[in-house]
Amino acid sequence: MTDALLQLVYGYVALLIAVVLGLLILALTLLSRRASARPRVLRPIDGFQSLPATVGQAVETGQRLHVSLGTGALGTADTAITVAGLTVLDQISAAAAVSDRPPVVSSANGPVALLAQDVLRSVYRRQNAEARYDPESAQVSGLTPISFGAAQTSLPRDEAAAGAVLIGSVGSEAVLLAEGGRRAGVTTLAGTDNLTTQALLFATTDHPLVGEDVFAGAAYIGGQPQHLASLTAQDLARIVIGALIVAGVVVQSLRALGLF
Amino acid sequence: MKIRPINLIATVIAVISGLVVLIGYFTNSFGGPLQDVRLALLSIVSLLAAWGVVAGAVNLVLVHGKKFLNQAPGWFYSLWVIIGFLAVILVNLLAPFVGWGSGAGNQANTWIYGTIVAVGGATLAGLVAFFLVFAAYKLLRTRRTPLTLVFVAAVVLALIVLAPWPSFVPNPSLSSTANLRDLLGAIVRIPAVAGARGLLLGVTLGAVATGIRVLIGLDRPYGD
Repeated sequence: MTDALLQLVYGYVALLIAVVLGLLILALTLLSRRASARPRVLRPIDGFQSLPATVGQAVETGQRLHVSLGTGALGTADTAITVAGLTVLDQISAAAAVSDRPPVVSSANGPVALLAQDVLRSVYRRQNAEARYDPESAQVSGLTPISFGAAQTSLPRDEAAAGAVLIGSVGSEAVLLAEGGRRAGVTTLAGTDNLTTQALLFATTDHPLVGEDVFAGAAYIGGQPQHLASLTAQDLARIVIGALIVAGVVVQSLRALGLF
Repeated sequence: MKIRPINLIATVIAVISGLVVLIGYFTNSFGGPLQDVRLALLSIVSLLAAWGVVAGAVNLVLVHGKKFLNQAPGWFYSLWVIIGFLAVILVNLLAPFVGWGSGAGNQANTWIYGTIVAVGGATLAGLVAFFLVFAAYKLLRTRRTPLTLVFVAAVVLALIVLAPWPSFVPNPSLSSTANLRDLLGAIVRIPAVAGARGLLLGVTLGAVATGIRVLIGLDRPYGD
């Protein structure tokens, strides 16, 4: 089989997985909206368990939360993680909107900052408090990864933040955000889709999100049916793909031994 | 929840555009009107992304300008941002008239990038290593969990394997083809690769599921 044909086959297999995953999410969302549906029990994730307390502390002390969406740009491979960050921003902002000081959102991309502004505006609109919306709550901290990282070192202290949350695409400059949080004495929660950065965040933040936990934020904070259904679908897909990998290893091993 | 007509229209446009681009990607070799629509949509996105950069730069200056005018905490850094922003615009406007060349690659930009931006970036990147070592030291004192111990053990093993093997430390042969260092290397490499693949699988599924939620309109990051 030629490489081009193989690539095409891989592409269609990926499309098939995506379609099956989509149908599963849709079906599980509809099923979970039924009155008889049982509530989903989620495994505890340290970061998301501590988040309500951090938000509560921010509201009670009149401080703000710093939500960072990383350096990812829309329309690139970073889109999914950025959307995950925006979804978490929506839910954190909804919880923190009663505070005098709304969350401050930082990013390194114009369109992401515009979307973050839109998310904040829609949160206030839902709560009939649109007059309190401040477009400068969502800001571009720097247009390059390193300038973004430099801004993160002072942002938690300058904005008198009670906690810093990072969910987005970010490289080694994430360490600067963690350091900024440490200096300001605030709790830091961080997750990204980059494995190397995940290791850095594990060592530097109070509540690191490992692996796919970064995409589970919406389900843990908001608990809406579509997000819970998405988690279930991901778990099922992981089991199926894992089983296929094990089966592949067994078949290859048997072939290598000349038994198949 | 009440859905506003404008948001309904936005959702319909987003879902249709997403599906057209996705299907177009997989039917690329067949050509046809779907490809034309897909390419047109991608061109619009590229154009909007370029304006997005401008919007980002304007946002940056407005935020820092306000911070400076209000003398908010950190205003001194904001002043430098504004000075830098204005200086770059000024030298780019002057560059063609004073013989520094034209376009993004003019001499002034090259000098600013090489002398200020790259040097500053490298300095900050160098600090990352120090922050990391300090954080790892602090981690051992503040978060003593089994996972932390595994993490630290893996780091120490990786450092032993990656660093040059000292001549005074014995490296006995364990078989005809492997010695102690090879064994340590395998202990670090094999679980690390297996773990990384597991994490990647989870991250990829999470990313695909997030994309699908947007594509079928279950998640709308563009307002309520």
